[in-house]
Amino acid sequence: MKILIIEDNQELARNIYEFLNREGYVCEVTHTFNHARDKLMSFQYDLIILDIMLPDGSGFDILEYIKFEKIESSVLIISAKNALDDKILGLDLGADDYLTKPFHLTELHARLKAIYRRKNLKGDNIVGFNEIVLNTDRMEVRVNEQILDLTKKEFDLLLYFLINKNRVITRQSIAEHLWGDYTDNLDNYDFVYQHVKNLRKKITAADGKDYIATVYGLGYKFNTQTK
Amino acid sequence: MRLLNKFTLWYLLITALVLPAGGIIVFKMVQFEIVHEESHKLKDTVKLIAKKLKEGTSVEAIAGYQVTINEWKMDRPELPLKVIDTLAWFEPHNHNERVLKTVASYKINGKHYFISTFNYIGEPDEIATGVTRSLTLISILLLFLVVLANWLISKRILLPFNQTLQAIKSFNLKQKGHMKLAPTSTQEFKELNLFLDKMTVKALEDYRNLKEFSENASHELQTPLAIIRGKLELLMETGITEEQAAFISSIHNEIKKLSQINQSLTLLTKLENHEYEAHPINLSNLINHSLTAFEELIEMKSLKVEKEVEENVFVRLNPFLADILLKNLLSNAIRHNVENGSIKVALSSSELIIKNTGNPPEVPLEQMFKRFKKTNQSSSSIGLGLAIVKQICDLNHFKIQYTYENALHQIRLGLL
Repeated sequence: MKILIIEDNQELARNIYEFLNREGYVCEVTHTFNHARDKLMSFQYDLIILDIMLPDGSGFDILEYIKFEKIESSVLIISAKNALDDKILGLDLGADDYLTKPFHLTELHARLKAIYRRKNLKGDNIVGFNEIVLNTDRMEVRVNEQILDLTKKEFDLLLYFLINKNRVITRQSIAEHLWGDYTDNLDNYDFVYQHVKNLRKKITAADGKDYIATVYGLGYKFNTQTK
Repeated sequence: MRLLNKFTLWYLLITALVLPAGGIIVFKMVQFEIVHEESHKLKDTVKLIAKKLKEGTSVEAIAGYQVTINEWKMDRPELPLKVIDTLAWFEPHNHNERVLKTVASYKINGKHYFISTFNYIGEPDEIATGVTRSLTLISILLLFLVVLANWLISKRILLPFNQTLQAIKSFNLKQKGHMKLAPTSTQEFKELNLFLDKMTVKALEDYRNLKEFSENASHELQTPLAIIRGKLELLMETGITEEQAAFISSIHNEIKKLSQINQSLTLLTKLENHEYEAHPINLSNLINHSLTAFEELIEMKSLKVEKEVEENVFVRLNPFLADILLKNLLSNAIRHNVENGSIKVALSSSELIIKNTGNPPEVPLEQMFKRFKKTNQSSSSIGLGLAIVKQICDLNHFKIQYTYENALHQIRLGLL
C-alpha cells in the first residue's frame, strides 16, 4: 500500500512515517499544500493522510482537488480540531475517516486498514495469522476452522491486535479504540484487562496459540514469534 | 425611577418653593401699590379742594360723601397733609372696612379750612385670598403643562437615548458588524453613542481574538501532544525495561489528561460563547444508548442499574452537548461508585434524576460544579466534568441540583 502523508509538522510526519514504514508500507511525506498537489498530480497513492491546517492552504482544498481530478485515493483526515462541523465538512468532501489529534499510531494504523478494507472489496476482508482467521465482512472469527463465539468488542479487539502485530499496544489505546470518548473520564483501564483475558481464554479454548502477551506496565503485544 | 420623572419631581419641588415666595412678593407689591396709588389720589384730591376753595368755590358745593370740610379757628396751626391708614364702619357690609384717609388744613382767604377725604381700600386678607387663588390656578396649570411636556419630551428629546438603550440591550457579542445607533442632534447623546460604538467595536474585536486564541491554542497544543504520543509509541518498540515501561505508561496517562483538559477548556469557552444551537432531541433514546455504551464498565464494578426512563421525552438541546452531558453524569456515577453499588436513572418529561451509591463527598456540594474541584483532590480525574455539565445546564436553563442523602449521591436536572 502506498501512502502520502500531508502534514506540516515535520516531527509528527516523521512519527507516522516511521511507524508505517516499519509495517512495510511505501510512504511519502509532504509538508505543504502546493507540494502535496504536485505529488498528487504526478503519482498514485492508495491512501492519503491529510492534515487540515497547512501553512499554504487548507486540507479541505486538497479534498476538493482530489474530487475534481477524480483521484482514486482514500483519505484519512488528521486534525487538531475536534469540531463537529469540520468532521462533517471533511466527510462530505469525500474523506473516508477523521481522526483527532493526539491519536495513537496504532489507532491510526487500524483506521488505515479499515479504510483500505472498505475500498478494496476483492477478498481483502480476511485478516488473520496462522490458525486465526478473521472475516471482517461476516464479523466471524475462526480458530483452527472452528468458529469462535466473540462479542463485538472482543472481535474489534482481536482485529486491533492482528493489525498491530508485534506492536506494544497500550491499555489506553485499546480503551479509546473500543469505547471511544466513553473512557475519557475513567482513571483505570481494568476493564481492558478483563476483555483481553476473555479473548485469550476463548482463543486457547479453541486450541489456538496464546499470541497475546502482557507487556508489564504498558499493555499487550500480539507476538508472532511465540513458540 | 425614570429620568424624566426625576426631572419633573425636582422641577415641581422647586416650583413648590418658589410659588409661595412669589405669592408673598406679589402680595406685598399689590398692597404697596394700592396704598401708594390711593394715597397719591387722596392727597391730590385734598390739594384740588384747597385750590377750588381758593378760587372761591363755596364749601357746600364741594363737600359731600367722602369729602369733609370744616372751619377751624385761625389761631390753630396749619395741619400738614398726611395720610392715615385706619378702619371705618361700612354701613352696607355692616362691618369695619379698611379706610385710607387724607387730612390737611389750609388757611385760605382768611379762613382756616380743615379738609379730609377718605376711601375704602382692599384689606390685606382680601388681597392675600386673591393672590392665593391665582397662584393655585397657576399651580394647576403648571402641573398639567409639566406632565404634558414630560410626555412629549420623552417622546421627542429622549427618543435617541431610548433607541440607544434598546440597541445595547439587544447587543450580542456573536453578531457580525457593529451596533447600529440612531443619529441624534443632542450633544450628550452624540457622545454617548460615540463612546458606545467605540466600546462595542473593541468588545467584538476582543471576543473574536479570544475565540481565535482558544481555537488556535487548542490546535497548537494538540499537535505537540500527538508528536509526544507517537514518539512514546515508537520508543515502546525499542526493547525497554519494565521500569522504563512504567514511566512510559504514566507519561501516556498524563498526555491523555493534558489533551482532555485542553479539549474541556475549549469546550467550556465555546459554551460560554454560546456556539451551540439547540434542537429538539429524544433524551430517552440517548439515555438508553449511553447506558448501553457504559454497560461493560458497569459490569466491571458489578453495579446494579435501575432504569425508569419514560419513552420519547424530548428536550431542546444540542445533540453533541446532550451526549457530553449524559456521558459526564453517567461516568461520574460509575467512577465514584463502590463495588456492588447501584445506579438509578429516572427520566420523566419534567426531570432527569441520577442516583448512585458512593463515598461521602469530601468537599462542600456547592463547590462541586466549580472548575478543577474534585471530591478527592488526589484522584486522577481532571475535575472539569461537572463544570461542563453545569455550563450546559445553565445555557439551556435546566436547573441542576446535587444532593447527598442516605449514602446516595443525587443529581437532579429540571428539564422544564
